Amino acid sequence: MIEQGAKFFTAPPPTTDLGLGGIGTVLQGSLVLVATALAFAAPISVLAGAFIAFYPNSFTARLARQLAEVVVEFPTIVIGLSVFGLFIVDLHWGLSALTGAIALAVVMMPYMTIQISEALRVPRAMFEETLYALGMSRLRTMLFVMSAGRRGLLTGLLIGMAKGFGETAALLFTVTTSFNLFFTSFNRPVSAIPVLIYFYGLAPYENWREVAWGAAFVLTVLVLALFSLVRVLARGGMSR
Amino acid sequence: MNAKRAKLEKSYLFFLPGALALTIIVISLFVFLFVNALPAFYYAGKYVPEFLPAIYGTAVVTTVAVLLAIPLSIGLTIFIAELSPKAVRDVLINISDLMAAFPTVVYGLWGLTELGPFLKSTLFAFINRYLGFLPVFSGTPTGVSYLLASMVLAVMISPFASSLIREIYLQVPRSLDEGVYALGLGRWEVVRIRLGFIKRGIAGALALAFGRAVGETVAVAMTVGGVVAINKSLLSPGITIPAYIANLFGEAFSTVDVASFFMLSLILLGIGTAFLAAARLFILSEQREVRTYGKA
Repeated sequence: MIEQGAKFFTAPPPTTDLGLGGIGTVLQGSLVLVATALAFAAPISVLAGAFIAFYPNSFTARLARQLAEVVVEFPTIVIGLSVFGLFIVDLHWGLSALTGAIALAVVMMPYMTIQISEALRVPRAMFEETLYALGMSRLRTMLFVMSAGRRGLLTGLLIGMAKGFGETAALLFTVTTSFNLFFTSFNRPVSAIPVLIYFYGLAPYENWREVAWGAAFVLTVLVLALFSLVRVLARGGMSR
Repeated sequence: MNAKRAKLEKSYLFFLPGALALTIIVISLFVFLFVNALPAFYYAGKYVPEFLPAIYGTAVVTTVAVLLAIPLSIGLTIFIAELSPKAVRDVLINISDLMAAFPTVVYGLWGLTELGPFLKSTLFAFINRYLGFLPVFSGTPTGVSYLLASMVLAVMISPFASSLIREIYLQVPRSLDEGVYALGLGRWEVVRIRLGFIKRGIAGALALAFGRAVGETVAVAMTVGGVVAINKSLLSPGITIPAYIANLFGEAFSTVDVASFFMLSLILLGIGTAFLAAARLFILSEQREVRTYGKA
């Protein structure tokens, strides 16, 4: 259905203006952003998801769950706007890789949390009572359940990653629009693949648009790879 | 008494920070939005005329998109649930879920560079020539327009809406089918009656899709044209709220008019959340009804 028409798949040298460079800068930028965002979001999501799964009746868990569901549907541009306003303006951090990563993390977190909490419900139901009956402490039980459900956890993280790579609106204000820089340190601006696609796709230059298509192709392959991984994991399912 | 003590166990404390962190982050997000939007409420009068085209655009594009999505999503649901052979079914469901989670930029790019020009010379020209007397379809069709954005948006939300509808559809009790067959009707009638049965659920799913579509930024921004004006024809370019924010925030930032944008985002949020909440209520009441069907 969705034709990719990748007219030009370019290799990763840096982008130039009028010639036909590559998408090296944005590729690296995206990788850095998603990795950093994951570093932020994964621990919080896993912990929060586990919390919601194991103590579903506590006030905190219910509150967290409701909030997560609300934010999941949020227009991501609003999230990007807020992160921009908070970190870039008020705290005067300026555009940096860190702010982009934070914006991404905020977008990924609610989704991953809900995925993880759902993924843990089944192993919990299956194992909890048996383990308690065997005399295991509460903490150990939970850790066991989490390891039993690690496929689901991984799935959640992978889907979060996929979303992170493709997320545009949240990054529009937190990431630079000059695509010529390679990543140096966390305080310097960085750029990302979807933002490149957005801007280059709208540009009047023909070759810029081709680059956008190349980038779109790369992004698609990336996302498809991640999703296939997810499906492979899902099919593995619950061993035993 | 045991519960109280259990709460202080290390397992609880181990996981608690995660949930707390999430909660705090989300709440501070809200607070931040509100606080920053407050200054703008004073001068609300000044900003409204500027935002009106965006609000209009959002209303139009999203509504048309949902209207277009109705046949698409219901069609997809029926195809998956009834018509496709078993082997194909799972593949279709996977593809459909994949499409729902795809990066939206790619949709936007496709819409802008492939679908747009194609439609401009075929379907849009057709509509313009024959239905051009209607103000809705007047004017010369351009490469980007409300209608194009609506179509791309419809394609984007249909898989999602379809999976929602499919879930409810499959929950309709078999006794309904059997009743229909007993009356001597055929397979199609069963489908139609089932759909009629879950009408409210379909409405809920569509409202949910509406809520999500309202916030869609990139694909719409690329295909709607970025023209900040109210154009009466669907075939002309326009602007929607998220696209407005995306395009114009850069300039507004330097003129310290930032608060107005936050207010605008709040409006967007308000619309979206209202629809989503209504949608959830719909779907819940629908599920309750489906489940209690047949139990006198």
